[in-house]
Amino acid sequence: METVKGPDSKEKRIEHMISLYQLPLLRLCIMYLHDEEQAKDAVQETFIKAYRNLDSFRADSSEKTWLTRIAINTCKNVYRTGWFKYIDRTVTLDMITERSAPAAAEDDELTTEIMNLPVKLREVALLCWLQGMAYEEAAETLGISRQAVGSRLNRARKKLRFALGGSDDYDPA
Amino acid sequence: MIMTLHEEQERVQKAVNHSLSHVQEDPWLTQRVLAHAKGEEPMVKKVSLAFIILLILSVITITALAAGILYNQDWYYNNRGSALRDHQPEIYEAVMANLTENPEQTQSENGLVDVSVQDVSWTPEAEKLTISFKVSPKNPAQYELHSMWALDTDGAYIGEGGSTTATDDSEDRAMHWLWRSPDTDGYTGSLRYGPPMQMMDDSTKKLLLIDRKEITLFDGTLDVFGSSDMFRTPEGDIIFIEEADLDWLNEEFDQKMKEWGEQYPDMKDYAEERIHAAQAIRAKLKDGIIPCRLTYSAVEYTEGMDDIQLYTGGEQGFVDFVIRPASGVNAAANQ
Repeated sequence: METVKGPDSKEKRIEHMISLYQLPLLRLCIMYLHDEEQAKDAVQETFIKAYRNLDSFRADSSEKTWLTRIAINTCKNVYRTGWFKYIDRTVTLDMITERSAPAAAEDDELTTEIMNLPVKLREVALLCWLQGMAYEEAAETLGISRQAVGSRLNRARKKLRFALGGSDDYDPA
Repeated sequence: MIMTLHEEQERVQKAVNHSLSHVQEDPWLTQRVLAHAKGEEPMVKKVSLAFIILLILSVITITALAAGILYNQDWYYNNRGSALRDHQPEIYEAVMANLTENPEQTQSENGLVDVSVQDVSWTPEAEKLTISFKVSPKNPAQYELHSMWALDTDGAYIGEGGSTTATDDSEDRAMHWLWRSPDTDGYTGSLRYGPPMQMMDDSTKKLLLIDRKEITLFDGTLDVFGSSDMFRTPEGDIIFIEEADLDWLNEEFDQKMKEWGEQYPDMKDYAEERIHAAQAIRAKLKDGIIPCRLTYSAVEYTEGMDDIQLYTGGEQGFVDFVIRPASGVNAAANQ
């Protein structure tokens, strides 16, 4: 994953991060939370937390990984404290966001199926597939073992095998 | 058909990007984030009014400890940070050749810590500025000093709503954890982490956290620092090593930034701002003296303390110091 060499001052660094990562983080949060407005709030909260902790950010990971970690934790917090926790509803794209026209059917089908994965599988799928994280990065982000990431991703694969267009036999190597 | 992980990623990213292609960026997000974040931060001027700053004008002489190691840049680049010496020996040699120990400095009064700039290397020929500074608790019998960087290094602290148990596999935490790094060389020893009081050398002491804020040149005209390293010495001091690029010293920088701004129109204003700042600072460099300021905060950590107080409170302080380039500044500035 790339490390973007950004501007120097704190304000400019956060502005630079927002310009690069706002949209991907917003899509991530929509996929996690099933709610566009909650997702926008989560993205704003993510960058506020990032700004506060910018001085302690070290380039051990990329900015994208660091921000994704904050965003996913913010989503988990929203999810945990909100009514989502009690009603993990099945959603369609039209239920959660307004758009003028649908995308290709196979794209909408896969997106919807990922959104409707159980939350434990969903967060692994979003990190490893959508954000492109390695197993180790996803494990560190979620505070679980690498094996747990692999196991959850395999379970997600089995649930999505038709939408993904593959079989449930998979070798991560 | 078996898909590889990479193919799966491409497939999912394409699908989500298409399905959510209508989602728009919020053009005001930066302003709202800054307004919100700054609204919760005490302004430096207000803090400075909250306590009387007594400037102690002194030229601090740092001598090698009678028994022990001086963790300065010479030690750092030959031990913990030896990659520069090993992989960019010409830059390492230039940095060492320009090293100035004990630069003139003035520090604000602070009841909790002593902060001193140990050495500075202004090396325009290698486009490098390096600084090391040391932070020591004023009362080591009462306080055990650690860096704010060592608190929740994994980013899993989320406060209320997180796990309240101290387990290695908790997905997020309501409690803070303190990271204890391996030994000062960064390689030997063990990495440990857990609740702060359990991680301290002496839990009967109070935990003191030092947070390095900014290093600026010329009254804040330019915040130049991009990379830092930090470690805790066996004596309980915190050492920071700062590195900055001096590419902006050369007028070629202006052209590069201009091209960058044209390539990324959203950043054009920022690029122009950088160019103007670089031009202004190059003009000031002709005076031959570079005034710098290091700002920091020292916070006494207590269990259950408010996060805003933890991250933005404490005693704010600064060290003003001066870089006097021996030569080459004007030449570099005029190149």
